[in-house]
Amino acid sequence: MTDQDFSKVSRRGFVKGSALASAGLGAALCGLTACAQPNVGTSGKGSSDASASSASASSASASEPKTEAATSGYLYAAEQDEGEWIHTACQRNCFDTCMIMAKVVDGRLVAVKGDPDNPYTAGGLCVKTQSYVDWTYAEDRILYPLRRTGKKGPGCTFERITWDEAIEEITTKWKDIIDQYGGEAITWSRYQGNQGSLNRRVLEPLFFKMGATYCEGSMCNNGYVFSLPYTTAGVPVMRAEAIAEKDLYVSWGHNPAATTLHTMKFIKEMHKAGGKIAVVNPIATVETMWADLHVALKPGTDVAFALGVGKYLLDNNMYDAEWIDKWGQGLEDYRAECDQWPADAVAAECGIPTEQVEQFAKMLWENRENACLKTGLAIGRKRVGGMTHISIKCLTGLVGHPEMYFNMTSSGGIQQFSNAAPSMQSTMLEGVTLPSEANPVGSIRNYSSPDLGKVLTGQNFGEDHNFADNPIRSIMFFGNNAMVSHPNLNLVKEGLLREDLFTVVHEVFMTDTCDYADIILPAPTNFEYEEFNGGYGHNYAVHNQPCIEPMGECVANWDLCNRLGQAMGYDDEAFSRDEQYFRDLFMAEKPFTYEEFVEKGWIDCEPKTFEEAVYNSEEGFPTASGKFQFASDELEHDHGTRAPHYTPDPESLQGDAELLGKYPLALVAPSSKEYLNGMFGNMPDNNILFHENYLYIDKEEADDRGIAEGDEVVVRNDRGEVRRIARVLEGRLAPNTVYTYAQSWDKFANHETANFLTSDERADIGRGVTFLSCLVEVEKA
Amino acid sequence: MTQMGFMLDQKYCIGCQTCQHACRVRHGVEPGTYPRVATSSQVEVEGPFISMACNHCSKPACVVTCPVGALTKRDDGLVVHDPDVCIGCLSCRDACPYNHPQLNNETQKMVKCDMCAARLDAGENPACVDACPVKVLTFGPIEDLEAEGGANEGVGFVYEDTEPNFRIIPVS
Repeated sequence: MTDQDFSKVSRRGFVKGSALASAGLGAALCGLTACAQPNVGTSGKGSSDASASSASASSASASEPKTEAATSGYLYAAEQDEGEWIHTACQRNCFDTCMIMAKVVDGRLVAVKGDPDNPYTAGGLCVKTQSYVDWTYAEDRILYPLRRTGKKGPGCTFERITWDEAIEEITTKWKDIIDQYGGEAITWSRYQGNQGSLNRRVLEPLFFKMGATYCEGSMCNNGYVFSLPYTTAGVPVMRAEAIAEKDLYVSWGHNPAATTLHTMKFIKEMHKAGGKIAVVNPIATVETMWADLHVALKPGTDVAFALGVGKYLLDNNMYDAEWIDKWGQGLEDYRAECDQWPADAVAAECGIPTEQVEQFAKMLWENRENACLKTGLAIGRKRVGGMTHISIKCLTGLVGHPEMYFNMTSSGGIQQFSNAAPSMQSTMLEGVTLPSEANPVGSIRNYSSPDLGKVLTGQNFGEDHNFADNPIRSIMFFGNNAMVSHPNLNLVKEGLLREDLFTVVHEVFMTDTCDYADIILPAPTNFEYEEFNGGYGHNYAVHNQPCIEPMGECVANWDLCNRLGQAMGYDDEAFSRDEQYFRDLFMAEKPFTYEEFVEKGWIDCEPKTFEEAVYNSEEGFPTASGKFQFASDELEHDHGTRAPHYTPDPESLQGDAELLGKYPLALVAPSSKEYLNGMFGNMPDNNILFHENYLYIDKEEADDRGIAEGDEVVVRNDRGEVRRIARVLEGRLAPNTVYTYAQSWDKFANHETANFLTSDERADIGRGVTFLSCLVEVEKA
Repeated sequence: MTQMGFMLDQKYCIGCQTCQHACRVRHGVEPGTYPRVATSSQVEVEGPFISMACNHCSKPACVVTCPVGALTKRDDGLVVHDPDVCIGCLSCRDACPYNHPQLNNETQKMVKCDMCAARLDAGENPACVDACPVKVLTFGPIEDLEAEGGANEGVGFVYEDTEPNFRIIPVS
């Protein structure tokens, strides 16, 4: 290896971030790190210190040069000092919900590591979170309420105000809006900066009480969750650790190396033991290097491929007729759909070799008794996303093994602590009907995550989505860096720039979203509060023990709900809850005690067997028919087809010809390994390792456009344009497909985040986002 | 004398760089200074990937080159560094065929991988080994690593005259 191999480390992200911290935030944040105490070095000979103060610590000895070197190696305070190791959790909303051990010395967090005793986390956190200590004490932490002093948008300035002033200003504004325009002129936008059961939605009662326009958070897994009732209803369960024992791992629209890093070791073990791997993905993801088959289909064509595989299985008697006879419904309707897709038609539509249909079908059939078919959340995030999930699920029923379908776990941790206790969410919504597949129009004005831009720009986009006549006058963001995570950001930005929109942002850091806030409220990190977590990629219930006092003037999120609710004049129970209330709420009827939970940090919740979870001999599947539904009346009623049906995605390579004429390339914008949704874009290591905002493009497409490796390019469509650096690849992409990683923060990156290009159309099922339905053109800059 | 070394199962390294980040955090140096460096699945895109720190050579050029004797080869083979003796002259880095020791910009002293000697002495693992999410980066006595299939060279790694103690399980 030459040093050049390792010379690609860029300090650009770090430098730019530092400049922001010192200049952009101005006086408001000056001195905020005062409570971040530097580590104190040990007094031992040859000691070195983990902080910048080490220079002064060793200066005394520097004046008297030592002649004999110590052989102890580096003695760092974080390792040497006596401290307490505390069980806590990562709740940044990834499959892995890591079990963290946090070391605290004199009230200061000094180190974090994965819990070595847990078989899933197994001692290692991910690449994103190694610097959690730096993150907690970062210079750009928001530690006090802030009021806008500048013009909305990047570079906006703020001044420090008191909590009393902030609460007064917010609630006075809200009361005025309610008096003049009604509660529905207010709304909120939340996501899962805190995925834990308590903090995720703890502020929502406030908005329910005000009668605010309802926010349906739908960026996650709606395509799966809302398509599920049409096939099996119950969620199959599998221990992630069990992947190691499988004969086949199918990675379909999934990038585990970025989004569920800790399962990679189980995939590795399976492959080492002789298991097979099939990857179905427009992009060659990391595990493709071990795969026996990579089906690089064009984005949005998964249904055609799945139906083609179904046809091959049916035509070649590779299906479990006996199981289907007992448990299946609608096979003939399904067969009719499959018959539309002979292998050559699949190959033409998907842009893949014809033989891959047979290869995939055989792998699935031959290994059906011990397989894991893992679908990524990306599968559902397109105009045809829900139907994609249904079409893939049908393959698992066809071979008689629906238990192989692994999207999220449904038992274990997630069952102990679901997203939030019902009493937190819905008691104040009694009598209100929210939109569903069967009834798309709700009884209260509402919007779904992808609509945010339309909502904030006063558009009327449907019966219960009229934002033109009574526009939104105030919005509060929490757990959500929308200016990174949401689609069609130019429209969101246009809305957030409105001078008559009163915007409150509750945040840990000065995100890109904060640039548009009228009031910013400081949010604590997970090291500063208690939380109850149910992992959805593993089977552990995880307790988050607070490790340190809240930083600056941060208050607990439940306390913020109380403060705002009481200032609004509400005397409901929801605005006088305390820590003990939530402890009692979440620990009710648990098979383990609170003390046990705190002490152990995590509890292994044995997964239900497939029989227990999904079907049993008396009741069958929890579907309307009690069967595995290859076809159903419900799907026909709600979505106009009895069985999964392929419809070309309107914004895809198979879509609208006029649009394709302008924008002939499909853009995939997956998660990078350094960022998670809207998080970590401010962290120097993450930005350095992310390295550069590349556009990955096939050599053929690059040559056609005169683009060479390293060229700056412009990626554009009608919604916006972003600049990228070309990374030219060969044989790793579906035809006419390019990709770029999403989620960098504009203020820390050289180029704009990819969501300035993505579509705010809704998915076919579940009202979710459609990041993957995106056409672009690429030109040399 | 036992000689300790690192080993990478290169076929299964996924280029996640978790080891690199964990190492930086352990040393508390500023982001951008990385005593362990790994190739990236997003930058290189195609594997095989590699992660490399100090190779704790049997004939360490850095130790003989250092003008002030800040580097020592211990009985267990670890090449350790004393920042209180170091003058930050870069001669160790220039002598190292792997260009390993880095300048700590905050102290103007060098910083290098010491295989987390203090952690090893306390019965723990190096930070990078603990952090590896795929469990492909390991360490141990060099004869054990070789018994597990570790070879002297791998994709992107050449065995130099300094006799590095880094073993690689070959990709195929």
